[in-house]
Amino acid sequence: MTYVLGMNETEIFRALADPTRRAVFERLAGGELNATQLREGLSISQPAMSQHLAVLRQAGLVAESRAGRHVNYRVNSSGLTPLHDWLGRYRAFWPERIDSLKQLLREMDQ
Amino acid sequence: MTLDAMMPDTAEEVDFECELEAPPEKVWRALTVPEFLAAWLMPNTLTETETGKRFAFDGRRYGLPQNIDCEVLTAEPGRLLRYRWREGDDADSIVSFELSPRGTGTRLRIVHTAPSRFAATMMLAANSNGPPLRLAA
Repeated sequence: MTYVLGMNETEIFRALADPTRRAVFERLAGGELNATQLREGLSISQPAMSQHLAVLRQAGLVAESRAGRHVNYRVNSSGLTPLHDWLGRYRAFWPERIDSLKQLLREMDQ
Repeated sequence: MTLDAMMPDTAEEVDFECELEAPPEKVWRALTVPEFLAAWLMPNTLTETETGKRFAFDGRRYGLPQNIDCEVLTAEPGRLLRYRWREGDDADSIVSFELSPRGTGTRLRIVHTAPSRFAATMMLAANSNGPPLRLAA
């Protein structure tokens, strides 16, 4: 298996680099909301909010579902998986390498 | 769903400590002699372990990128070695090896800090109960 940094990770980074989008994402982490509820307390226009939600959706961080006339948004729980992959990969990698280091030290001349 | 439930792991680094049955000087050689380094870590293009020197690891054997582009950040023989570990665009992490004598052996601590762009997101998760916008970009 070869690990290559995916397009998705770059998009996640870009999506969350914007403070407003981070705020939107944090709100959604508290539960499902529609676009109007999301705008409460934020000085942001409806078109701008739509734009931010589109970026978050594109990055796989947010999912939407239609409820009557409203569209509800929620955090897509699988969207952050790539961020966990890095930790998982190196948590497995280093202990194995340390075992090899111990082996090497036994074989090295003083 | 809360971020805590979704993302319980907010670590920004992996951190290992081990006791080695060899003095720090010998462990240092295992870290800095290219052939030794290749034997336990990965094939590499290391020449000299000096601050600013660049080299690469070939990580394919372990499912890592073919070209892990590294630059020595700190080299204090027998004590501390740090390098930048670049897996791709926007994916700089830092690996450090701290050596300290323990009897006739060595305590080795390896800390590998996640790329900052990952860490920013992890911080977001860690701070999800705080006021929004309090994180620096």
